[in-house]
Amino acid sequence: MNSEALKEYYITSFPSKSVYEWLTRKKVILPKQNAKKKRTETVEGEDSDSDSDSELEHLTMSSFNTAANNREIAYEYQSGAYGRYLTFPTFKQFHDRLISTVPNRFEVGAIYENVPKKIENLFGNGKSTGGNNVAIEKEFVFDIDMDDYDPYRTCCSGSQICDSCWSIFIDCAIEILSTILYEYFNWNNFFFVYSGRRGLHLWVMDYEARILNDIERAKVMDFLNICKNRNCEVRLNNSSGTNCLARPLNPFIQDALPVVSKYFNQLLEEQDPFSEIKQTKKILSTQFPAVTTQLNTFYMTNGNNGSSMSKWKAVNDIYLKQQQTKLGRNYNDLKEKNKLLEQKEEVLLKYLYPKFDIEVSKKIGHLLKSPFCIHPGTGNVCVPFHISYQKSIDSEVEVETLSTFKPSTCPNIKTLKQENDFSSYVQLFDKFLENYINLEAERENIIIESKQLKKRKAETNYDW
Amino acid sequence: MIRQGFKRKQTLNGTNLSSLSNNDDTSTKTAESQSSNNHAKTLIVNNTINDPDFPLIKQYTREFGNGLIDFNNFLTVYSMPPIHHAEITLQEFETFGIDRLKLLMDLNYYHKTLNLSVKEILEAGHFKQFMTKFMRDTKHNLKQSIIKDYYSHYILRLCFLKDDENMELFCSLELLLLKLKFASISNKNDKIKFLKDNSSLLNINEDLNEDEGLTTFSEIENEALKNKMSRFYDTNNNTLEADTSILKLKFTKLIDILPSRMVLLQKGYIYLPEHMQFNYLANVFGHNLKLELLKIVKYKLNSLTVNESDRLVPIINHLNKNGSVLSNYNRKEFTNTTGQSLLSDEVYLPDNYDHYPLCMQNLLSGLRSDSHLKYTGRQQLSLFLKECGLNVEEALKFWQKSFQAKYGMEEFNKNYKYNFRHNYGLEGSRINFKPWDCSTVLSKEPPSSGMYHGCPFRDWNKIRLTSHLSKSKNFYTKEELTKFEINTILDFKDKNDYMMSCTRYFEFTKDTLPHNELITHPNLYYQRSKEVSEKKKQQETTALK
Repeated sequence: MNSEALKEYYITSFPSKSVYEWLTRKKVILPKQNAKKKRTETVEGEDSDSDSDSELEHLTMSSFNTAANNREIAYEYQSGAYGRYLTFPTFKQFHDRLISTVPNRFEVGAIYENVPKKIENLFGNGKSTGGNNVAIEKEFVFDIDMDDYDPYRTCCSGSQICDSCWSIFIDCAIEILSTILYEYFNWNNFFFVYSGRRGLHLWVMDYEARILNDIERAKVMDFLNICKNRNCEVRLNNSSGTNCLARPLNPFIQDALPVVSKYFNQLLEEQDPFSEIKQTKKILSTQFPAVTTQLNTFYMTNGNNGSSMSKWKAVNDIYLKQQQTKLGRNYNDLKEKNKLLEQKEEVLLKYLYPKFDIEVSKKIGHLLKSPFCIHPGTGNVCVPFHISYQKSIDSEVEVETLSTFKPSTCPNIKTLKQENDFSSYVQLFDKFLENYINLEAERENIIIESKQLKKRKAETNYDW
Repeated sequence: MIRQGFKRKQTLNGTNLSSLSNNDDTSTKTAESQSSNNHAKTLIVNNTINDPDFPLIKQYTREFGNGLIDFNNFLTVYSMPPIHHAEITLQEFETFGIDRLKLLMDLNYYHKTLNLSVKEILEAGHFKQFMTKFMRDTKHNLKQSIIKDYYSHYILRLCFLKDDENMELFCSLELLLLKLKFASISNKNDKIKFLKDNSSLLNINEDLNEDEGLTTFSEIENEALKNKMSRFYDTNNNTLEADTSILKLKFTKLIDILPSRMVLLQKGYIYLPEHMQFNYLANVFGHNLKLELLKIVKYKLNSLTVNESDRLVPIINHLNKNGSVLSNYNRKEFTNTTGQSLLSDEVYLPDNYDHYPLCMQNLLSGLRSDSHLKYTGRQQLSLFLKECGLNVEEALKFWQKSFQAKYGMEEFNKNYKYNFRHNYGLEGSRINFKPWDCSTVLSKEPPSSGMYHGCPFRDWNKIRLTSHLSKSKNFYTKEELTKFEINTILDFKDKNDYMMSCTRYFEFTKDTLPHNELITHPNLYYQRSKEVSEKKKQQETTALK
């Protein structure tokens, strides 16, 4: 990638203040009059004089903020070298380093108990020292890559992505995930980011989610990840290894059913997934015999004519007919009927339930590309486009989404100058950030208050 | 004080152990008052109940038999230390300890090594057999049996204090025993009774916040939630009634059962109906036990070692040794005993290749066709080959050559060299990594397209596996594997017993394994296979002579 353009981007467009505030959860206080001047000075590449430097440093540094002091940032330099365990206690350091080294991209890691140190050797391979430096906090992240959907989409494959697969698979994933986070985990503050090429990142910012450890993260993912096996010939798994979903469905899966059926209709219309008999059979044959039997009947009578929609409708019709005619006649019929229904539901889930790259979520220390980085392969900016936030701890959840966002309209480093819609993404992020920082402050106050209360109680007890 | 202990004064003897086990007063009281509420209902009529000298029995919840005493399922969570119940002799101290140790070892063997579930152990009758063998009093005396159970538990607490691992082991063993005892009760009401008896443990334990704890179904106000709950939890055997107790907990406290998707999660809380609370109770039990062990180490170990140095300590040490034998019992760490070495250009030689297990052959053929392997596959194969004797220089040569078609020397050095050197402990954390055993291989995500790691017996579908197997030759008949043999292998696949599939495959195509050994490690497969062929060669040469 053009390093000049990248530098230009970091200087003019990259919302470094917002990103730094997001990482550290504290407002960066710049001295009002000087701030602008300072920024322009650094832009011109002149080293500002040391006096005002230390002033700035002093104002922006909060030495007690572990989120700032111990947060791991990793740089991928343009040379290809990789620098882990960088920390930036002040905004100035963060900003200056970014502009002076111009990394290809940088990734966000965990907040550690102590400052994560690194030894840079010749190859730029850092390694944490001090053995037991435990990661104490990190956002719970989800990563979804489109190539995991390859057996199920007909428009593109591999690392390609188009607006059609975006509006079906990714929108569906967003809807399902949002419900899961609200209803089942009570995590309300999160935002979705386009990863720049073929995927989606989700950053869950709630305190409860941030403090989960490796084991807990892995278990949560085992709970959520029903499409564990990407191999399309295998049915959805229980964690216990039985070869289909246990019934009754866990409510979170039950809740996903109407969502997936909505998007499945869209899929049938736009992508014609059952157009080839071979393809259909590969996906459905062994795992969903009841559905496949019905599809086969359709092929037998109609040949391969008709749209996927009509084929799927044929399966549905048979189900409806079964339900009417055989209703409650005997146990076996009931079972048979349920089989078709259950398999129909599973086909939909298999197609559309989010397919997580769970390694990213499982480890607290796992790195993930920061929002507003440039994807080195495509030049796309990783922009947040869907946010969910609370104004204060008990208030209602508010959601805002940039509905115009599509991978094809994603701001790109090459066209950034001509377009002005980039600012809307920054605004969206800032909106999230503002509420988030307030929420964090509120939470901290509550903790402090409860501590004081305890202390006071202890004192009164002592009096007695 | 301790010296007067066991033989003579029963009161003193009790105090000794109780001071060692270090239960605080409050929990003892709650347990006592609670069990006294229930004991008349929960115990079968037996003279022992009315024995004022024997309050210990109140600790136990038992199944109502048909007037018959079933000795297998006395249930207790050992919440009260054995104070003034009975005296035991030094001799008994030792035999109690040894018997319980043997019991736990045997159960553990069946559970961990043979990989039988709690249900399977019960169904096969092993549990009853072991309990009879080790824990039942010969005269079928209820009191004696209970004493043995109770004391032996507390005796073993003293024997598993060596290190953290040791304590964890003891906790997991006792947890297994508790689960078995609980599962062996057939009557549902009795199970619920046990949970009710010990619900104090659910409630008082941990730092519950105000939203957590036990409620009843009717007390839940959210109607939508109630509907969800009865839809999800109602089965033929269990329905939610108004007075069904529901345990509400933050999901992180029940994180272990979350992946089963058997529990209902709502706004960050798990709602656990009565019939599912045992799991949680068991976890709390295990957790508490660990804390108690730590307390012993912290406060009592010193006085124990000083005051009991010539009396109890030798016995404990003796038992402890058995315990550490046990802890090494299951860990099959593989070490290259033959000291073979392997060169980079020998990897594909039939002399070696034929001895690789199927997973490795699969990886190698994938490597050949793709000139690349994804990370997990790379790890699995490179650590395996390392253990086969491929040293780091040869390994780099081998991988470089394998990747050549796709990646030039420079690219290889940039992207992959570090990875392989890391595996040999030459980079980064500098751990000399061990090759993966089968359970590690099976614990990884199954491969998606373009990946070759994992276990073919699990990851290949039946058709592919069958077609591969039918190409293999039987060791004796020198003919292709018969349908029956293939089905034997596939049957184990169906039961998710992939190591057994692999073992059978070995036995059909190579030779029987000594001592009914199970293939639990790819390198074990390789080594055994080599040994077998060596033996065959030797036999052939001697036959020629």
